[in-house]
Amino acid sequence: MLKEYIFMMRIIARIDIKNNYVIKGINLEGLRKVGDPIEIATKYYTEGIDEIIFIDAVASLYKRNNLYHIVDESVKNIFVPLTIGGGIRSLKDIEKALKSGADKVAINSYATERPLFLKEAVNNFGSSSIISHIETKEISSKKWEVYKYSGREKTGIDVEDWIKKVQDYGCGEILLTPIDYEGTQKGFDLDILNKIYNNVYIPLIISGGCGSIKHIIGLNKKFSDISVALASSLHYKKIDIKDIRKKIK
Amino acid sequence: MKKICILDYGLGNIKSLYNSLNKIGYKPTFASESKKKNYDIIFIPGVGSFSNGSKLIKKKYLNFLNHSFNKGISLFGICLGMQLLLSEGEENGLNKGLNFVDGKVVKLTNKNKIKLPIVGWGKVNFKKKKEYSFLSKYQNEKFYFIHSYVASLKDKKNELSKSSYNGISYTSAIIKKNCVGTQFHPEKSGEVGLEFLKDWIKRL
Repeated sequence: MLKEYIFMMRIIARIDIKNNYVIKGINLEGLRKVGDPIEIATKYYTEGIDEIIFIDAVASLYKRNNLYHIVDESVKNIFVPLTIGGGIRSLKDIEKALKSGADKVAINSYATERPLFLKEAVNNFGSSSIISHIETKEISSKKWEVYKYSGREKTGIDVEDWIKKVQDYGCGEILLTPIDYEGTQKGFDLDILNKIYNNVYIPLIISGGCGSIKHIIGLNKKFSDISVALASSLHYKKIDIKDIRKKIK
Repeated sequence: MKKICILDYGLGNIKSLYNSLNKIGYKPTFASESKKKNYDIIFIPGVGSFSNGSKLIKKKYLNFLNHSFNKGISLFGICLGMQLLLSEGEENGLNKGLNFVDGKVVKLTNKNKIKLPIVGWGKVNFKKKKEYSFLSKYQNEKFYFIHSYVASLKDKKNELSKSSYNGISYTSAIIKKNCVGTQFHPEKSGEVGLEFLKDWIKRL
């Protein structure tokens, strides 16, 4: 065996923002203020986080992303990959995000309304810059529907069909948020991962449900190439970033 | 103060590269806004496809780069920027690169059913080369990678490092005369990446 290797699980901080404040809810509702986004992102960077995702939690409602100035300021002191999501609705939005210093954009709501937008985005900016963000709820036993506008609206799209499509369109990664787990700290949604895993051939990030380091270790044992996006567990100090690296090899 | 240039040909996160060089004490200029040619080092960033990148860079900077290469000015390619230093690439059909280093850019074979693109932090196994012995301190450090294509070199002596992903071993940095290229992103690899850039520039 070769000694050199690339870690497959990335530990990513997910920072949801509303009106310049980091917020956190449960099942994407009941949002509480947590603090200043740049301060919090910088802290996670210093502690050794692999990547950072900023999501504008109310952007899709107002049809615009309001985080460019935060990214612009953050990248002066944060030297790990940065993703921006929420309210991305045009190639101009993507260009603005990348110019402000983001490495990738996460696209959800608008893509469910006009799927070809993902293809156009990939053609213009390359696969590695485009993440398909998928919010989903289990609507009947082992059947999941895609949601939009931070889990507020149904789309009528089956999650398995959607996962196939976003990969066909060339997205570089999938960020999956099972809404029923989001903010609950009860563990990751392994049911949906079991269901979709064999049909995902691009990097997959699971977001929502992590409450302790055991959840990450358990996930890693079963799916060694799935990455995690952490919010509550970092914001409320349930998990120490350095600790994760010691335990996940 | 070393004179640093960042090539802006429309692809890649030039802001992050600018900020990281700024952080370690340099004031880089963008090639598109300056005609000066007395640089110590020229960075070629890049994210996107080889086909698109090779067209854009040759259209704007072919003479500038050829001239700089022949003058012995240090060229540092990052990710797609590294790939463009090679002779040709097979992404979206065969396209000619800058041809400073003999080799081809090929897609990683996926018989192991690995997820592509490779996205993650990995170790870089630098080859023992006398001139670059300072790199040994990075042997156990991690750098950030994001790519689906890799360099396939004609001459193995141009290989500066290897990395591996899920059992597949590939060239992760290249070197030839005044040309260096990294498949990983030092500007996105935290404090270690900054240190790496600093060490590289310092010895010019």
